[in-house]
Order: sequence, then structure tokens, then C-alpha cells
Amino acid sequence: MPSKYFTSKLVKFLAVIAICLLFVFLNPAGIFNSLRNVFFTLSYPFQKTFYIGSRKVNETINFFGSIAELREENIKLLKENNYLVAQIAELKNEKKENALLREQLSVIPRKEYELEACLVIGQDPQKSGSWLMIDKGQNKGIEVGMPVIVSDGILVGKISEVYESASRVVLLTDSGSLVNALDLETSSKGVVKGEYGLGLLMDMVAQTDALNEGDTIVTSGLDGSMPKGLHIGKIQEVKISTDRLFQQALVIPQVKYSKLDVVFIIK
Amino acid sequence: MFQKIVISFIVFFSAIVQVSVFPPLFPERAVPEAMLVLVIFWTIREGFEKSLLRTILTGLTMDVIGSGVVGVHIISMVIISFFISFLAKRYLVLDRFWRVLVAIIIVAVSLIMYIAVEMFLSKLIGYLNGLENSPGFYFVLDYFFIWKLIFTVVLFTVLYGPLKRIELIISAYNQRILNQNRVFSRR
Repeated sequence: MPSKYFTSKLVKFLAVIAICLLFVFLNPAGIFNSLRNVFFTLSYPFQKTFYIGSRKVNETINFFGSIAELREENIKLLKENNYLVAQIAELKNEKKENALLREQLSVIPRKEYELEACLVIGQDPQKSGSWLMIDKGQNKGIEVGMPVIVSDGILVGKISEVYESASRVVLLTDSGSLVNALDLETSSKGVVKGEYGLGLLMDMVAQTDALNEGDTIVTSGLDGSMPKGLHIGKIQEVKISTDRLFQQALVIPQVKYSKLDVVFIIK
Repeated sequence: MFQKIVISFIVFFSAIVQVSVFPPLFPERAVPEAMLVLVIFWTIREGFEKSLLRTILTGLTMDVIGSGVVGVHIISMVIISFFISFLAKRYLVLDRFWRVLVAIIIVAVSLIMYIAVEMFLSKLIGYLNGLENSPGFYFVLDYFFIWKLIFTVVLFTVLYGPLKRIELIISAYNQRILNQNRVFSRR
């Protein structure tokens, strides 16, 4: 090849690409962890302040945008409130009955989780539904693999990286996420995996098992790393896998990950 | 030195804005790319070679703040910078109207390339690691992407002025230091 093509610009370009490709494909484990640690230690106060500030701005904008809908929503909420009050009364009665039955059958009380409340301080800007940054890390005893939920026992993901004062949560919708799951209504078992940050797919469900639209999917706790019974979502559509060996179901997550500001880690 | 500090600050805070300020404010998957805007600005103003270190720093910061393998964003940013310098040299004409239009087209094409390169590398890494469910080219040209494009172009036009002013301040400062050094050396 003539040397005129090898300009210094092209040489620099190729050199940088080659070095980076080496990094990408050799993928030296943990080589940049200390750099990430320093970066998150420095950025933590700014990230926290900026995230809370922008959430407040977003809420204010949404508030002004939704004033017209508030009246309608108020009526709807009042109706819902009345219904919930009636349901609470019913559930209180059932709780008493449940405790009595547990006592009679000598069943130990349901385990209560030790929770660590965390603020969300960052999100993946490119692929929403991939990861979140939270404001607790090694200093609060957070470890890789711990499940992350929202207040009402809805699973959102698990801890993937831990730094001194921050951690990264890989969300259920991330393409690398995999959780053992169970259909609450039919007890069909399978695995729930992320669909490129867009949704969830329950896979590996035997053809003989039943899956219905609208069924609730919870964690099965089979792998031991995740407690049993954490809410994942509801089935939107049932289909057969491409190899026709298993059933699959599109699962709609219960929460909008982009709207999260507080999450809880199960320790 | 002053220039390096200022640029490091700009990159650092842009990364924080990109990860912590934009996601709650913009619709899902339509978050503008502040870091890409920086690379485009520097390449248009300085050319590929002069802005190479800044481009690498921007890519590295995105890699560090993100969850993926370090190197992916550097490659994406360097490829885009190379491509922009190629386009800018040939198509950025002096006429103000056409210059703005061409700059906007460059931003739009760069964004498409940036996402495509990043997706391709993520897919390749996933494939090499035996990850069957690795991300694909799913939302490259959907409804959200159009919004992302619009927001990024708007961000570029909004940031162009302030970034140019910062650059002028830096060069004025450098000039002053240079003059002071000359005076001292004469004495």
C-alpha cells in the first residue's frame, strides 16, 4: 500500500482502536475497578444532589402539566381509597386468622427482611432499564448479588458492582439478568430474563405447565440467592419458544424503572 | 495545565449530567448524549488529531461511569471523531446558514453511528462471552430514537455558544501566560 495513505491521523486512529480492542477482548478483570471507585467517590455528592434536583424539576413540570387531570384523578383515588379501606378490614381479619392457624400448626412466622433504604443517584442514559446507581456501598455492608426491591416487595434487580459509597444495580430488564420465577396462580416454574431493557421474558416453562395472560409472576427462590415470593410482574402474552420445546411469556414489570427514586436492598 | 483542568471538569460534570440529571428529565430511551456533543464540538473546532486526547478522556469517562467493558465507548467516540473530522473538512463551509445545517446533520449522523457502533460492540462482546441474550440493534430507529436525535441536536445548538466562549477564555489565558513568559525570558 502506498505510504501516502498512512497519514499520522490514520496511524493514531488505528493505534487507539487497536489498544481499545485489546482491552475490550482481553477484558482484564477488575483492572479499572480502582478507577471506578475513585470516580464514584468523587462524583457521589454531585450525582446525589443533581439526581434529586432533576427529579424535583421533573415532578414540578409534571404537576403543572397534570393540573387538568387532577380533579378526575382525585375522584378515582377517592373511590379506590374506599375500596382499599374495605379490603384492609378484610385483610386484618384474615391476618388474625392466619396467625391463629400458624400457631395451631406450629409454623414459624414469615421471615421479615432486613432492608437498607437507598436513593437512586444515576441511571443508564442510553439503555433505560439496564442499570441504576444507588447511594450505598461497601460502607453500609452492601454485597454483590443482594436483591433490590421497591417498598411493596416488588423486585427490581440485584447488586452487580459495589464501590465504597455507591453500588450499581443491574435491573431485571437488562439483557444479562436471569431470575428463577414462578407463576403464582398455576405454580408453573421458569426463568425470567431481561429483554434488552424493554421488558421481561419468562422462558423455559414446560409445555405441560399452564401460563395465562394476567397471571402474577414471583421469584421462586430456587437458586437460593433470591428470596421466594418477590413480585416480578404480570403476564401480557403467552407464546411458544422458537425451538418449540418450551413456553414463553412476555412479562410486564410492575414498576417504571425510570421513575424510581428510592429502593431497598435485602441484606 | 489550565486548559487540561478545565476540560477535565467539563468532561466530569457532563458525565454526571448525562447519568444523573438527564434520565429523570427526559423520556425513557430519549436521553440526549451530552458527551457525544462534546466530542462533536471539539472535533469540529480542533480537528481529529488535536482533540484525540479529549475524545479518549470522554470515552473513558463514559466507560468508567457505565457498567460495560472499558474500551467500548472510547472506540465509539474515536470512530465518530474520525468520521466528523472527515465530514467537517469537506462540508463545513463558511456560509453561516449552511454551516449550521451541516453541523446539525453531522450531529444526527454521529448519533446514529455512535449507537450503532456501541450496539455492535456490545453484541460482539456478548457473543464472544457466550451470552445468547446480548443486546441487538433493537431501538436504533424507533420513535424514541427520533426524540433522542431532536434533543441531542437541540443540546448541541444550546451548548455550542458556551463551549466556544470557554475555549476563547482558555486561549486568552494561554496567550497571557505565553506573553508573561516572553517578558520574563527577555529580562
